[in-house]
Amino acid sequence: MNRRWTLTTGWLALPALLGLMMIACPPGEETPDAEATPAATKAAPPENRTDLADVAINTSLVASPTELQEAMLHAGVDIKFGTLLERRDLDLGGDDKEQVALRTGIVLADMVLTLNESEKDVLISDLTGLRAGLATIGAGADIDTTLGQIIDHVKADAVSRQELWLQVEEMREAAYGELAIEAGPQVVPLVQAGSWLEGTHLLASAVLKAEEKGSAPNLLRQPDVVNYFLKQLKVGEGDVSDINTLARGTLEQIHDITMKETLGVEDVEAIHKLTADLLGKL
Amino acid sequence: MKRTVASLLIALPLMLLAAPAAADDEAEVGACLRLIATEKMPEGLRQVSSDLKTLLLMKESVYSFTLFAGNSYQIHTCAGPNVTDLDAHLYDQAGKLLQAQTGVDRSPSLSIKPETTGTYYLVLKLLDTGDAKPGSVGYVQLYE
Repeated sequence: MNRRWTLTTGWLALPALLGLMMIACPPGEETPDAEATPAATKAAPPENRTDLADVAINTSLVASPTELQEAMLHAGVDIKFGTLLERRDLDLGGDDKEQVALRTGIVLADMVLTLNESEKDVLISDLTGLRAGLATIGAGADIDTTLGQIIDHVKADAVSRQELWLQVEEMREAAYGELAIEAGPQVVPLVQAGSWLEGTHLLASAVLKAEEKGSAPNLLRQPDVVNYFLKQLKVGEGDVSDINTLARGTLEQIHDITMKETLGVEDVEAIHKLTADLLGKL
Repeated sequence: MKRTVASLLIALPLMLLAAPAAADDEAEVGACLRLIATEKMPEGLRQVSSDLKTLLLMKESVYSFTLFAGNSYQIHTCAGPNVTDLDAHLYDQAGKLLQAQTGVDRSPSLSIKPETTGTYYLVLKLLDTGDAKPGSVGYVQLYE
């Protein structure tokens, strides 16, 4: 019995041992010393890098509500997003997953950016819409269950708005991971693009409404974020959907505007119109 | 092509052996990041973004995020149990180095109050692990 176990273990371990040998002594290749062992003394990080935009993972495509509100205050704009937002009746079902992905992103932005000020019923409606949208685009049973629990907590007043923000962030990260595997490479960037377009539109609305604009137009100067979406949404010509083409066209125009050193009111007006036109077609 | 398939067949058992350890380390890093975000909440700090990865030695993760002028930000890092040295560097939109935490430290942190709104880049570089294996690292970005 023991001998058989040893033999079986030996056979099972053999590929792993061979693998270790291959890694230790790869045939016909030089040993990558620099990759395998840490430097004895640390090299200082480069003072300048030009590769960062190409390799970076963008992790904050929709600003947190308090962060953006505070940034607006620093720039002299004291307007709550809730006073500007007109929620639309978006269809979060149907077969067009790319369209629903963009709409789901819009609902997510509406919910997040008004999280600190929205009435409980409105918040529950946003979360319910988010749950429906994510289910349609294939986020799976675990995400659905988590969102159901979050909604129950809100209904029972069992969670603060800040705790809710953390829970939604955690759920969002998990949903993006699952969607990227289950729903195809285009879906997550479309959700993110929907959120970013809605957030940008609201921010532009707030800046335009402010009497004293100060440096507020520059809050919209985010060319690298726009570039991120353009790269993510660019796929083979045969695979491009109408909505993807439409979104990319708008983003290209916004990118050109946000490349300027400083943004003025006319730039904010242009961004406001571009985002309004696109959001109106979704 | 044959070699690729053969390499995959050989590497698969190794990957299967390594995967649970990496998953455990990532779970530990995730718990550490959540703990920081929760502990900092009473101080008025709010989470903006976070992420974690398992890196090979001497490899880096690069993250980009928008920082808004006038706001104060803190960036805290966590590392898996085998990580002994992690560095953190912060670059501005033009790729200019703003801050670098390069001491022998497994959880460096940075803080910044940017003068201009724009994209900023965080580089996490895994310098050393006690066992020469990959290590899990992550960050949480907080807004004050």
